[in-house]
Amino acid sequence: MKKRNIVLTVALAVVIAGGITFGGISWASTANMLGNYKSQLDYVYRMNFYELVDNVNDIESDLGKLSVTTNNNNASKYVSNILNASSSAQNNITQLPLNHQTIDNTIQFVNQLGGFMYSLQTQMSSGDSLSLDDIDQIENLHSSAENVKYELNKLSVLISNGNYSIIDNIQDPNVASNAFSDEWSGLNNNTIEYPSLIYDGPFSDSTTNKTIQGLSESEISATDAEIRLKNWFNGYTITSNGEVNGGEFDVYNFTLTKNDEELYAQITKRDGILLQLNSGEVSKSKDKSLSECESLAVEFASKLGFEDMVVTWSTSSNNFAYINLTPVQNDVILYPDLIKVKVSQETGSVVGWEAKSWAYNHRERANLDASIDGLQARMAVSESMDIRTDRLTLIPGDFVGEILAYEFMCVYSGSTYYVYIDANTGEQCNVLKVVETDDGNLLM
Amino acid sequence: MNKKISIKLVSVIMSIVMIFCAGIVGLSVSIDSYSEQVIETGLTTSQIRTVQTKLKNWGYYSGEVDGIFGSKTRAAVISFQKKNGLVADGIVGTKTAQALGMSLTTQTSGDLYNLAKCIYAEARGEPYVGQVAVGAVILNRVESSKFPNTIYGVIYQPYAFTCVADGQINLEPDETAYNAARDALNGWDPTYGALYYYNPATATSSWIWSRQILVTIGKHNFAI
Repeated sequence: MKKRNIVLTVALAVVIAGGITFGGISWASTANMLGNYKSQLDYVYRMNFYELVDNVNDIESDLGKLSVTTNNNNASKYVSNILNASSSAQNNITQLPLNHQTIDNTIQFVNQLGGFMYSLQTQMSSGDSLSLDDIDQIENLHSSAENVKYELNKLSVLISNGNYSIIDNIQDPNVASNAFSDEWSGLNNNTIEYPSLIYDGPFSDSTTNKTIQGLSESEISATDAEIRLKNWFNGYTITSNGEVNGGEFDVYNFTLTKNDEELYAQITKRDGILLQLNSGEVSKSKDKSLSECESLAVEFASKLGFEDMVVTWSTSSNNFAYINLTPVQNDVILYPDLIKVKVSQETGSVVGWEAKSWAYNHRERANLDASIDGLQARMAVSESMDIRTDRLTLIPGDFVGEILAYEFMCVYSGSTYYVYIDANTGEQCNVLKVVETDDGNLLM
Repeated sequence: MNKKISIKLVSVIMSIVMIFCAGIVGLSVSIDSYSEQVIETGLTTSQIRTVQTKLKNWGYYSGEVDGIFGSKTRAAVISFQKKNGLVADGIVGTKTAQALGMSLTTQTSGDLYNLAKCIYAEARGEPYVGQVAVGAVILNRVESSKFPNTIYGVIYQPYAFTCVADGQINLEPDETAYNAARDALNGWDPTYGALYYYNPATATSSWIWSRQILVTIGKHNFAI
């Protein structure tokens, strides 16, 4: 009996000791692995940080050189250096574990800087040198860049300290406010004055406040909006969903229901046009061809009061036809005013509509006369291109303004291209390529 | 003894029968699969249709324009290649495509997939319009100067989306999320330009309450 007890105790002890050893080893290896992951992540953050500092140092010195150089070749070299550095700086800073509110103005600064440099590059490549206004802007940017550089280099001293770990200063990965972020407070706009930038580019402060040119000032009531919807959509029950003010457009919201189908519609207060329509319905079959859907879209537009619309692009994806309708004035296609329509190929009904560009831009255009004729414009198209169609169009400028241009649809080595030739200068202003994707054809 | 032999005999006969049957089945499978063989070409259905249409117009192909690359299509491609001095391998590669006057380049849309993933992870319980709204916020951020300039840049920006922090971003999106992503990419923005959204029941940041609310959809407030 006693012997048996001893054996049992020894056996138990061996099992427990084994368990502890095994547990300890696996705990140690997990902790070791976590430690490795932590260091790896810390290195990635560090790499981004040091690259950011380098990029901002380069930006600062090149902006300084750009503001004093008198040589156009040098200037364009600095411009392209700053353009590249600002785009990588943007990448670096958005990959760091920082509270967005601490650095959103810094991100805006590098984005706008890049946009401004891009517009200068375009300007200089057409032979123009920097204007006095440009130099003024560059000097403002330079002084902001100096401040950003100063703050970043201060941070660099902290982070380069061997004992500092970025990871250890983030704490909870779900909470944006952390000790690491707090170190960056010197970069927010209370400390650094970031200049407001107006230039011909996508992030310009002027493009964020677009003016609405397609709608008059007269507003319709919610009741009138509902009556309009009843006329446009037969057989649907219409429920009001309130109104939205303060966004891009002030609108009334409605839900339209018929059987199980549900559509969401927004009517603008000004002029009461259908701004957006959509639904979560799926389309199960392709009973209607793309060209049938095109006619249905044009018909629907005309019912809503959008006359003289032509189909300028269409593609089919997931049993839906996506169709671009564009108004025509004096035989000129007005691309800036296009409306996107989505038609179910199963039922043939319009289930999507987007008329924001129309609402922003549509108006009677004053000057649609070309100074050169189509034959002259043809000369500017590469000889190797096989031109299939041509027509006169109004196209949006890169970022602002509109250009009257001849559009040539061409085929070159099996691919389709759209080439645009300025109808006043005869210069080529844009080339688009048709790209076949898994999700229909795209113009790029 | 007799019994044993008979069992052995039965089993031998059974195996022979089974092997034979298997042979017939195998044979019939191979015959079937030959007659309906779909040849792996790496072409999209619409590209195969283009190949078939062109070969049909030029008299090389007499079958259906069905987007399926079968033996008839292959034979037509081979005779086209022979006539045009190309390597007659029946494969539509770059040179054959060029001779046919078509392009082979296609691209998949990583943007659509990423957008659908984020919509699904963030808003799968929300009404459809709320899912499109989440997609629209992501696209509005891409366009804003205060955020990264690509869809994945916006989605994976640290602390931008809780679904990235907690790993839900890795769930496979459903068809609804894909449709919502398509609608958002096609320009539908039910948020009227919002850059932020939050669930007022769970939002912890005091800063977010200071933003101007444009619209409330489902559980989310959308704000600029």
